[in-house]
Amino acid sequence: MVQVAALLQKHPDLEIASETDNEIVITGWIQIARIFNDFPIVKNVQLEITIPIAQDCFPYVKDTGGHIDTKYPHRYLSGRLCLATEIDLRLHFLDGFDLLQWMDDFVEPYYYSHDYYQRFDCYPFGDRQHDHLGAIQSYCDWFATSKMDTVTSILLQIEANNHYRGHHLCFCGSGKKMRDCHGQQILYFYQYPQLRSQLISDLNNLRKELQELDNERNRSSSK
Amino acid sequence: MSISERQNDILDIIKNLDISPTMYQNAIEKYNHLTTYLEQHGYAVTMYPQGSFALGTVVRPIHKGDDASYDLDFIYQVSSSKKSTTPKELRDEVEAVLRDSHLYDDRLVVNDECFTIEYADIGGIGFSIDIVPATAEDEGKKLQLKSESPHPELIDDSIAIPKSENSRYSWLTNNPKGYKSWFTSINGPYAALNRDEVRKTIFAQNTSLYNSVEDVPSDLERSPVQRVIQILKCHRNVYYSKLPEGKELKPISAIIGTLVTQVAEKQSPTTGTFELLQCVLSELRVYSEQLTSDQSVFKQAHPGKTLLTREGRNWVLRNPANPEDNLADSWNKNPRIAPTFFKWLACVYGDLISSLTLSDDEFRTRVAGALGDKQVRHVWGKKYEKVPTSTFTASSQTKPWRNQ
Repeated sequence: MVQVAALLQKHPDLEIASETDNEIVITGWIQIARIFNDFPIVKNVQLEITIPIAQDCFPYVKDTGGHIDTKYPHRYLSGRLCLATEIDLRLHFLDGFDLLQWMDDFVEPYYYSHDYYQRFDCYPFGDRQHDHLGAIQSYCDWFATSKMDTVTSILLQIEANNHYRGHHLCFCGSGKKMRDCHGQQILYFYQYPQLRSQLISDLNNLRKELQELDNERNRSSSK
Repeated sequence: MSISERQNDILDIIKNLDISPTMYQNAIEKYNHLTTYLEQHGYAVTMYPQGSFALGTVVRPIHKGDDASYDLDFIYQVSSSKKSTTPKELRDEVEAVLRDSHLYDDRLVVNDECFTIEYADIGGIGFSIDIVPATAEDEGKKLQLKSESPHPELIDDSIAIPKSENSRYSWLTNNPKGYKSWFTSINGPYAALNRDEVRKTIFAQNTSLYNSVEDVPSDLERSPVQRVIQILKCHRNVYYSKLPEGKELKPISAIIGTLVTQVAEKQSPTTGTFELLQCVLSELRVYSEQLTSDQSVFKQAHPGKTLLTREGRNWVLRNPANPEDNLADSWNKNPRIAPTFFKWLACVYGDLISSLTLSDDEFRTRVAGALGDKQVRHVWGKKYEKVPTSTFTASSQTKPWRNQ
């Protein structure tokens, strides 16, 4: 509730619309006043924020003011906004979730990106691909590699190994010791259990998606 | 704030990107020095400005979001006839002349179609002179051009310039003098209207440069036609600098200048700058229908709209002074150029026309988005600003994602 109070103080046109044991719903207006690449955006947007209580998941936002084009690729049909991949969010809030920071670092950039994209046909900070490929891109950024093979190898080995061993060979296949290679980034997945759970969940989703693709291919070849 | 105050404030930004009287004087000195050098060394050539410097529509370009140097274009026309030389020989001759001088040799950059002399910065702003070698077009060719041109009286000034393609040279017809005559015939009545007032203002702002109003060079006067071209060029520079592949998609200045001048031709010379800008944008918006509709449908719906046409699938905008020059040639090689052009024009309308009636803060944001926040801040300070904008930290430059 402290974080909610801080949010309402920073954005006085927001108010609590409903509150249950499971979630708090906040509605109203916020002002976006940001600049990037010499291009400023100042606007008020109307939204609805749902904050789950005592659950291991992030708040989500719905655009209730019709600011986000329905054809915009990063928006669900329900109006819910796709702010970032789960792993991007988890990596951002390693030491605990902060509602104000989430607004500053995800909600406001989202609206800014949308307007920038509408005008210039490109995202100021880039975007993630749809589905699990988007999550893989997040891991690529985290491990500072553009090679899917390398990142997949790292993820599978983090999943398979329960302990971090800095003197072992790095999971990326470079032949270097882990601590002299991707050790720092890999270590986080052992220090923060929520990261490892997310990684395993992303891998399982990826396997499921690949399995479905396989089934589809088999079905069409048997026709 | 009144609409006219806002319009003047936008013009202040454009004036700040125009060539200053000091820079103009400097460019003329460099140009005179070059022509004197050529005369003293016995070269029978004529040098004259072309493009934005000749037309009074210069704006300082931007490079990676920052101001870049002024590029001033000149034609170096030899007196020998086209038949007595080849494109390669002419190019080599001009290069040899420039190389002969230690002053120019050190500053010379050789490009495919011109030679660039780069000068040191003055007051933090650099400029360069592009020299395009040329010879008079031959009489037979001129006769042919006259028969094809709606403005045959302009054709006598046609020139031939060496064009290089994969190191092979050929002649290309051009007519910058004729184009300037066409432009002046339309711009003249607009320029004449407030000439005395404009000259007095320039004099009052530059008393250290000129002894009297009569000393102010007429090249520094700006009419509404010239201002509209400058506004669109400034907006274009900022807008396309942010687009992926913006360099390839950017409309050339000749397209902007020609379309504005053609629209101005049909208006009264008493039309003011923003009124003309609105006219230009509204008129050109109609042509965007050609992106989707069939040619016959467009012609039937808009019988008088012939500024920018489509012949078959090709976009055509004829250079008024050269019937062989389709200014929209590149549009037919890259299909993204035309839709981007019309989207850009719609942005200009929103930024510089619709914004005039918005709240102060919205107006400022639109103009800052249009002409660059740094420029606006430099000229306006905090005027109209109610809410300061904050930048994104590295960790807040987050990427949206969609899970199906």
